[in-house]
Amino acid sequence: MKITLNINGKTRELEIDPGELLLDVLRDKLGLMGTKENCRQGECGACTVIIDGEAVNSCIVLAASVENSKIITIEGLSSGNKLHPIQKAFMERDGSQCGFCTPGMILSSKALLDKNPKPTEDEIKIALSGNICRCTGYKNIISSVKTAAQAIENGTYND
Amino acid sequence: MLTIEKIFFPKTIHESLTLLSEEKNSMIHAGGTDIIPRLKDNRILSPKLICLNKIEELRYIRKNEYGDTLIGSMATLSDIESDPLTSKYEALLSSINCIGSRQIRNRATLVGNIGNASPAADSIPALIILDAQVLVSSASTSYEIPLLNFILAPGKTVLKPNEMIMEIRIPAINEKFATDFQRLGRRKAVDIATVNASCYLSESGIIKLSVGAVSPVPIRLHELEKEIKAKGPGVLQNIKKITEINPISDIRAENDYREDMARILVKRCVENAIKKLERIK
Amino acid sequence: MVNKVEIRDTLERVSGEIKYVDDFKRVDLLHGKYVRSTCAKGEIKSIDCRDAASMQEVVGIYSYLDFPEGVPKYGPSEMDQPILAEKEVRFFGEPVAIVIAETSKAAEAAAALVKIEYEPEACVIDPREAIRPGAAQVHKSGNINTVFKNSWGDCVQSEKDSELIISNEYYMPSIHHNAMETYTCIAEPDHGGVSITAAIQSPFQLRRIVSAMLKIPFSLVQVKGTELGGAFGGRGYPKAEPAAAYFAFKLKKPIKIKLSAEEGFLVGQRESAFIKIRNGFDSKGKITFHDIEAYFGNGAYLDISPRVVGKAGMLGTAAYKIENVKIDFKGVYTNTTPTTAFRGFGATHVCFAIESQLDEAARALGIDPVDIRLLNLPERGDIIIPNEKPVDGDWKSCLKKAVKLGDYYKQPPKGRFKSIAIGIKNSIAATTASSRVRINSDGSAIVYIGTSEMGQGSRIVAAKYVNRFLGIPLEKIHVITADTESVPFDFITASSRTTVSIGIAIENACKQLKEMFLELATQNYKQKPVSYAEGHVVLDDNSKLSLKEILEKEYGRDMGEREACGIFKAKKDASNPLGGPCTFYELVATVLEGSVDRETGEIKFYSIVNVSDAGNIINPIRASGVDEGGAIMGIGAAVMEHLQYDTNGRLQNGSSLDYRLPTTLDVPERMESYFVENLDGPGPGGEKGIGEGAILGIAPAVKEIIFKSTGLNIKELPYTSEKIWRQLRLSRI
Repeated sequence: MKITLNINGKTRELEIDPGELLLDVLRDKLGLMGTKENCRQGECGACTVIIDGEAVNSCIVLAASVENSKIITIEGLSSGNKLHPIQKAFMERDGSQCGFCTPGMILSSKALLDKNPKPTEDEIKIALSGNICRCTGYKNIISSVKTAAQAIENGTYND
Repeated sequence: MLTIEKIFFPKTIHESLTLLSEEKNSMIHAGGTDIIPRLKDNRILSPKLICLNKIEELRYIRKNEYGDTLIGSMATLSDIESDPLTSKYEALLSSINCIGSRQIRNRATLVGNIGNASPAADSIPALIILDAQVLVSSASTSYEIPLLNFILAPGKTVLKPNEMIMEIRIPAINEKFATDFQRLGRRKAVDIATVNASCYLSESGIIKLSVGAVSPVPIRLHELEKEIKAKGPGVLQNIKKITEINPISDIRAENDYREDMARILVKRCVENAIKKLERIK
Repeated sequence: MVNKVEIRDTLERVSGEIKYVDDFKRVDLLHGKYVRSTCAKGEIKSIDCRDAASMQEVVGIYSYLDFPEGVPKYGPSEMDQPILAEKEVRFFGEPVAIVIAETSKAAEAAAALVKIEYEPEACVIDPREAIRPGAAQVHKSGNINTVFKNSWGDCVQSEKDSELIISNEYYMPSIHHNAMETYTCIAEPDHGGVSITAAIQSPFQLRRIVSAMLKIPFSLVQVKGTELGGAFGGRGYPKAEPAAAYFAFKLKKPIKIKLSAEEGFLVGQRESAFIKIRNGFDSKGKITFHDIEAYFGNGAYLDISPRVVGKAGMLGTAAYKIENVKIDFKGVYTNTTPTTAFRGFGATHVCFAIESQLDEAARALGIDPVDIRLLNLPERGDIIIPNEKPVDGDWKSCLKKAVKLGDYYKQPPKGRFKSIAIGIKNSIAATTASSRVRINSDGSAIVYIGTSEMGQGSRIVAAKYVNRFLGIPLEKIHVITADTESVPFDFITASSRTTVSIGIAIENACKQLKEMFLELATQNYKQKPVSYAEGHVVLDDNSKLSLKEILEKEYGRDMGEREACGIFKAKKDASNPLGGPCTFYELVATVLEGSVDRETGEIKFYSIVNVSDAGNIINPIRASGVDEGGAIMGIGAAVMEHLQYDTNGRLQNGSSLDYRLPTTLDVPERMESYFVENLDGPGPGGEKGIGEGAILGIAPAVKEIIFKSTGLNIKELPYTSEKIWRQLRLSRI
């Protein structure tokens, strides 16, 4: 079947099978390798993307079901050479080690901060509880999100 | 890739009900957070999916003229968490907050959590104590059934192949009340409940208790409610076990642990509900 | 200016550009999919591939029947694991057949159609069963596969002089590494040899093993190590790579094998262990004797587990100086997933037992838990294990620092308790590593290291070393890793060794380069070079020559380069059972605060403070982050992680849904990592390694929190809510 997807602000027409998952379409058909695959059952958050402003596990979403939705992947976060403030904060606060969970973490953080610019530590923890990281023990991730919120609030960065 | 025979995107309720009655081996796809993993593991084979994503008229949370709260079948768990109309149903909100992760709640619907009829579904006990009603439709009929009677067995409901859940109705409550939800999992977030419990308590003394993951379907604890009404909540300090439940053992927990936790969680729910009611009286 | 190391190690991680094996998009690949055993132990009666073979896009289906001369085998200790089960299966999930197809979808679909029948036999899952007389045998050779013994002093005699004797049995189940990147590799024919793209901690070990398996020289095997999406020991040694290499070599086609997250549970675990321990104490709390017996459940094939047993045995007294010691450690086969390296490498098991013993002794003798540890900890320079490295740190002051920073003596709010534990690990012995440093004609540098980057920040460390030794700015340093055809030999990226081993190798290479440049200046300039400082050769008239100028003078404009290879070679000592002394000790003191809900059995943590004896920290924020990761992994292992098998040996929770890992909500309000930096490690700036220490003390510290909260002394991990509840209930009867 033919579908139209809006990914990172661009419209893409694709021929897909009805059973194809968004994760596979992003990686295999569109070459957006920043969306990571691990559990394929909505448990680990590595494949998180933002659909219409909400963080979603792309491994349990049928691509056909998100036609005309606005999808943001990690590739859509930075513009040109300019990193998103959340990405900058993850660099500054060392919120990434092996990097495999990082795109999902950052997109979950973005979905949170877009709705709740000044989250408490508990709110950050809840928003990221569906993103497993085995390297960091989460502390530097949580402080990255705090730093990002602060930077966005201070206008240190222009989103 | 999942094996799906065909996928439909009806634009209206009528169209979806017609498809449901005409297409053999068809299933409703709402949020997909449960059906997709099941398809992946071949627990469902090659169905036709009727995807409701495009039917905006099903995504609502509103009040009717009697003050009942109505939740449409495409309202996501996140929609419910952030809607002012549901804010007074504390147990329901806490239960929803325990379902999956933020990512899951952004896609999963309340109706889907009910339709799956999992014994451990967190929202069900929280809705049972609110006397939630399930509105079921097919192309030809429509009827309402109490949630308590809607679920028959693990994974099995009264729904016929041509029927779908349209709406959950929470009847208006015309007195001061408090609710509480407690649950236990193997970790603090994103886990299937080992046991869960909900309590409703009102100014006029109505008490309703419901527990999940301790019997084939979530149940009301009518006997215990009667005992509490008769002897006061102090009885909870002394009861050794809740006789109405019949938990199983699986890799998540043994039955005796579930049995005892049901007792503890019910006790805590009631204590919390009493405190909450005190505060608003 | 652009800093390539920073771009690669941090920027490309947050931008999602970093590539793991599965991100290399290729259209020419064949795909391999295993058909795995549904039986934990038994004979393969029949394999029916007819339906699968008739599918379009299937290239071939292979099983042991296709290898009349024997199935190729692999393994880092011994080449004992067949790439496909040979007539017999020995663990649930063992690969029995492999489908090779043109698409991954076809491979998967065909694999589901292969029908295999087994004649099931009795199996053993737990080392406690496997050592019983008459137990089912995993291999015909018997269930004991490794024996490590060591002893000194006289335990029997000292038992008579002991005021208190404490005997216990402890058990730790297997747990899973669960690195976020699933196991994936690509192997392809390469001009008569084979080239393997792999996420592995030991590219050179993989090269050796594939070379031995295919009977071709190292020169025909290339391992292109990629970034690793986490490892924790799980990527220490080959998993599916040898099979991929074999079929790529045989079929002359590139082959990808990508395992699912569920299959990850079937390739490598941490050893389970049953530990029997007896300790004597005098009235002051001094350990009079230490008699420890351990049986490690090693799974069905060896992988590196014999070495785990040996390393654990070598450190069988943990951090303490004990006069009378008897150590008897054994590796035991079980019908479970083969076990391998895991953060801590056996030290986790030893520390759990000994720290638990000390807490129990302190209680029995009415001594403070800190004091009993101070009493038994050695001084710097003490020899605590014969023929092993003398104590290389001020361990007592490390403990005192943890007591202070962790507010150990500050009374916590009611219902909460504090505990303390010491973790120690001996870093890998008798290995070597090399680094090459090249100075380009423009004065920039390329560093070649055999290290695998898995999030520990080894490129950053390597670049900082070159910057420190040669004064070349970080922006002009590029680091190349892990491709066996371009980098020099490195034994493995493991055992927290890289900062030390690569550091020494780089220091050595840089020293040679300085001499080279001084020599070039001597030859080509009138003035006399007097020193090398800040990236320049200083001449006797105080003028400075840049490296670029010196190379230009020697070779002409934009031509030439200079390169040196430095070598780290650990000490060897035949009298040490591990071949030599450990390179350094990794010692951590942990202070934990937690509470137990006595009705539900749930544990809650409020604070974890770790103090590591690190020598010298090069990258402070990453060092803390790695330790925090270790601490939370320790929490997972202490309270929720375990692999559950049914009585038929089938793994019950081998999936992301039922193998529970810590999430953000399991992180305590306070989690801090500190370092003691006495510049006393073997690294060029006094560095030791870190990264494994923080996991070691968590389990015993959790055990003590449970004791203080409930009076329960539970000796078997993990401390699930249900287990605590059950023990509480039993204790009331």
